[in-house]
Amino acid sequence: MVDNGRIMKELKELQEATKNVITTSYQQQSNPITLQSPTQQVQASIVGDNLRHWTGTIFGPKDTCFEGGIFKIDIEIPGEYPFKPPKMRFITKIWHPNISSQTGAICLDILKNEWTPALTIRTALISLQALLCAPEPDDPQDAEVARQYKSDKKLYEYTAKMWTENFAKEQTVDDKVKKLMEMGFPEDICKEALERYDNDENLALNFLLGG
Amino acid sequence: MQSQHSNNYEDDQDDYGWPDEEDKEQVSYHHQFDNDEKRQLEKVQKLVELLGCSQDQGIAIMRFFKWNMDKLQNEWFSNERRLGIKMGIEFDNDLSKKFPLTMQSLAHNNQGYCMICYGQFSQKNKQDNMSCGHQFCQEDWRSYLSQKVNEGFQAVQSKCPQHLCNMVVPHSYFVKYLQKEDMKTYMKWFCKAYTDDNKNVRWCPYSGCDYCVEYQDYGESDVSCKCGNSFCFKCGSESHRPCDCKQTETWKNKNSAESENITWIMANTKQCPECRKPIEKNQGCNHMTCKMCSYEFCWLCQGKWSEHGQKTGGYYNCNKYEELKSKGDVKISKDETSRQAAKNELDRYMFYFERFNNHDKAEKHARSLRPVIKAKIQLLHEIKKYPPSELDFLDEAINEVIKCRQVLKYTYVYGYYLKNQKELNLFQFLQEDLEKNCDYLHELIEKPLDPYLDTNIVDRSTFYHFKGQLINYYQVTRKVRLSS
Repeated sequence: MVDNGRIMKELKELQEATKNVITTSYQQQSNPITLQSPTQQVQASIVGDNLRHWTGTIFGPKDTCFEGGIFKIDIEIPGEYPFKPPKMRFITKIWHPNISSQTGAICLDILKNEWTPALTIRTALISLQALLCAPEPDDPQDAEVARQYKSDKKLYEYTAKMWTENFAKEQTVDDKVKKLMEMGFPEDICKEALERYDNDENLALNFLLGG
Repeated sequence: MQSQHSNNYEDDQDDYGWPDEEDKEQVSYHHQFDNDEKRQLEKVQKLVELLGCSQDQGIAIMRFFKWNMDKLQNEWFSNERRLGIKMGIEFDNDLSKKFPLTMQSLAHNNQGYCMICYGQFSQKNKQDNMSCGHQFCQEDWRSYLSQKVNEGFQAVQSKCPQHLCNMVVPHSYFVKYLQKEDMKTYMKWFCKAYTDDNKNVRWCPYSGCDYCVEYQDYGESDVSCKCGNSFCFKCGSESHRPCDCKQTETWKNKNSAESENITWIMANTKQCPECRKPIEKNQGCNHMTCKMCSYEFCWLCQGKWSEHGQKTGGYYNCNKYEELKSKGDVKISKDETSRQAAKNELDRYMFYFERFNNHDKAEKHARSLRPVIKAKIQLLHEIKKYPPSELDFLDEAINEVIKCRQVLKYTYVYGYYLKNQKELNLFQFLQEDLEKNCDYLHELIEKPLDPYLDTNIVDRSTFYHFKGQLINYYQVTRKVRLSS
């Protein structure tokens, strides 16, 4: 039943899809007007040389609190795969009713009893992306988030955006400078502080406040 | 081996049936060993002939309607197609529009690949599909169904491996692909599905019993299981005549709500009225003899046992409970009256609960006595060479005691809820009568049988005397039980 052939093929397909994204976004970059992030795509790669341990990547869907975020997902493929579902867990911290804010555990039917062997890692990742678009607070994994979602939607959106901002974004040096400047420090001093602490935002802020 | 054993047991049981008592149409059977699948398939066969469908479809339709033919005939013919989709025997074509992914493994989409193992179909690696057309290779079908069967009883509702496909995997596919052990497990689920779904079948509620009873009319009536116990078919709990299910339910809730108080009030021991040593009652009847001082007394009222003779108006006069007369001559404030009423009510409840509990315990003792009696019968047969048919009376008697205890137990529930004074008097009379006979019978059967086993005694007349006495009381008790 252990069937590496299928896993190999799935991996190859995913990698090809990723390559296509890169080429398309490269083409898009040559035309700055239509420059867009490849939000509809998912990626996955193998961790070390264990064929049954992958890391998936999904991009936060547009017009949601997760837009612009890059979310990493830990994927473990059980021996009974594809007859049993892959085990998935968010590595990147995320504020979402169906995902534990502590452990990253996911509550999604197709990863549990609705799994069928005709599904793939790729379809599961796409479903996860869809879950980000449409949370289901009535079937929560994280009760606290779900409560917030139902009682104070604005606060939920704010928290989710903050979490995306803080945990799911690769920030460029310019972003960090901008952030520090918003706190009222002059631009050149901010740049200097960041440079001094190897672009570590927190240490730079400490330095600015202390100095 | 096991199956053999169970069948023998049934044969034994058949000899002691109570035909005049439960003559309604009822069948008790072991859900795994008694050809349960045959019963199912026979019913399915009738449907197959009626509808002209396949056996697989027949099974799915029967399951959907929970084996209720009336409902099936009312609904199926008016709405065949929509129901077919719902129960998974007809492919839902709308799925292809809503979810294009569902179409992936169809022959014209899959490019000769199996969507499970990603292997190419070939002579060696043959494909197979249900009527929905989703193709997978045979090896994967086997793995898929084996996986499902080992996950649990829901396996019988397994769907096509294609995501979102609504087709249910038919019985014949399990038969085709599953191997020895898996097939055994599947048949277990197959039989369980029938028993669970079918409203005319109920599991015997007694622990350790694997039988079920099929019964056509599911009103309030007692059925008896092959294990020798009887239960109420409507609510599925132990027999509770003369109470109805609702009363029983109310009573049980009341008990669980107040039981902590009650058990606190009456611990399991009572003091000997004579020497004050605490005594635990560990046998079924009310005739207590204190081991310390040999004082004989009645467990319930703690009065002298000698006063309980027939001369003084029956053994169980103490069971008549008269409500405490309220003290009308004194002016009592409103608070005081309501407090008094609550106290009276609690007293009343405790009176009935105590007696209910008493019979419940006696019933349990009688149950634990049953295997002992069985062993004794065996010994009497082996050592003293009594033919088995001459010993049946012992088994019948103990069963009668159990049934009586059960009825008596619930007479107190019935009595508790009975408000009509006239009826209550008559009822109490009958109850007392039954109680008297049952207790006597219980005491008789509890007496050790060992003297009758002594090989030195050739004279059998004492045994026959005992037997005569027991049978006599058995018959009297039974008559009283059935008349009340």
